[in-house]
Amino acid sequence: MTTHNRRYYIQILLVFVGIQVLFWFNTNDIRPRMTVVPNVPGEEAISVLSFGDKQALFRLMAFQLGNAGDSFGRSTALKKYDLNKVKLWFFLLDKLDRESNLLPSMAAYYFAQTQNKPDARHMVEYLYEHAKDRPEKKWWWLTQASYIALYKVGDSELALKIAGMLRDVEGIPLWARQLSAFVYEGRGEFDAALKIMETILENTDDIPQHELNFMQHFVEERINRLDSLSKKARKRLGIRGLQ
Amino acid sequence: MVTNILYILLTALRDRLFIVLICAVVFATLISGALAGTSLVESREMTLAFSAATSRLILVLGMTVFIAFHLRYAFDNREIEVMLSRPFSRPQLVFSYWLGFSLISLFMGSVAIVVIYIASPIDMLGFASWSISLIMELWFVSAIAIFTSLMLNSAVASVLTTLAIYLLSRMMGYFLNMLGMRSLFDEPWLNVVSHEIIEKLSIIVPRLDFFAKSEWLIYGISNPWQEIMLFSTQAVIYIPILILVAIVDFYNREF
Repeated sequence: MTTHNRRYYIQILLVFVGIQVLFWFNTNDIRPRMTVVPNVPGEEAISVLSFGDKQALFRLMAFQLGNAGDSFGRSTALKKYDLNKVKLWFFLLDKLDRESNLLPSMAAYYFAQTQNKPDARHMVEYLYEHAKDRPEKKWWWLTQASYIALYKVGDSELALKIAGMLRDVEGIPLWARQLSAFVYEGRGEFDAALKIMETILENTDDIPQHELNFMQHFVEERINRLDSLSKKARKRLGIRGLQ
Repeated sequence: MVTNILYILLTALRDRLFIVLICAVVFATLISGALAGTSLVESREMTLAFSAATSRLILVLGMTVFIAFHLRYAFDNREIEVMLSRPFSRPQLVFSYWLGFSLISLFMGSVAIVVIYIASPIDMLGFASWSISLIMELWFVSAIAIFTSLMLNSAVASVLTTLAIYLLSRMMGYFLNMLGMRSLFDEPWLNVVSHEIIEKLSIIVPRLDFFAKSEWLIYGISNPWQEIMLFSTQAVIYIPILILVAIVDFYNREF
């Protein structure tokens, strides 16, 4: 290449570099729109994207959801999350893996802590749907759902409906079975609370002594219904007669 | 045949394939562990799932690229013609290539298995099944890569075709699932045609979604013998098909 030709191409290059600089001035403020919670894809799209490895996709999507809104140096307040979308994401990802406790943990311990308390209802709905058909295995999430419904959302009816599912479930801690009694107590419905305790006392074998002591304390001192306790329940507590 | 196998191993050493893939697998697992550490709960499960999936992808990609470029190099440098000039039949050549690449796959797969073992799989039967199916999947991919490399004249085309077949094989189960679910198009005739195409395609496309499922490492394997029979049978049937097709196609090649 002769010197003349080389200079010619350098000049053209400089013109294009100048155009690029002008282009930059006009476009450097154009930024990608960062959503907080991404839109929920369809079930089929998710199935296809898994490439035969549903577990890996589940973990990847859950990881992305857990970090949603906090990527690229951002830190987003929970009140700005569309928790209805998060709930739909959870329903979708449950189709990939229903056994994992990752999503219920995120729902109960993270997203439900939103500053916008009514929004926590979406997390209650998810936890309920996730656990309702296997309470003996997922009872913990039902207790979480009931707690959030009562203390965050302020819906004691909903809390009661969820807690009531645990009353007759075998093999779970007694306090979980008694949960609806505590909700009734909070509502001032002591007779209903008594009924729960009576049912548990009458139909459960092998109640440890400390649990019996607690139930007696609850009936006697918290709801003041020892007089109304059934004979069978009193016998179970070892109470001989009224004093 | 043994000479060719040794030559393939030497080429892999020369290309630093082992070092690169081992480092990639280890690095991927470390990154998986770091990412999983940010998880609220179940970080061990997340590490396992990420590590297993990325290791599998790294090995599949690595073997595909190595095989495609190795064979392209062999064609360009007339090494294959030299080998065929000796008392070495075309089927023996193809088979020796597959054996050589399978040995490399076995070694690399074993490295990935050790790495996953260090990441502490939760269910050991699931881990054993995953390990065996990973090796078989790599043998499968080696066979696909040999077939495309012998058939096509470009290494890049071989790599892309192999990856396309691999992805299609991984997704075939879900395409079959979608057939039974709902119409894909608004036009009825398009639905009929697409159903027929997917159904007929599924006869010849292998089911790689039976292989190396990450959930086995975490939740175990629900029907052990059924799952093991599925991937073993698919491998035993289809790898010979690929090798035989490669041999038949190689017979048509003129030098």
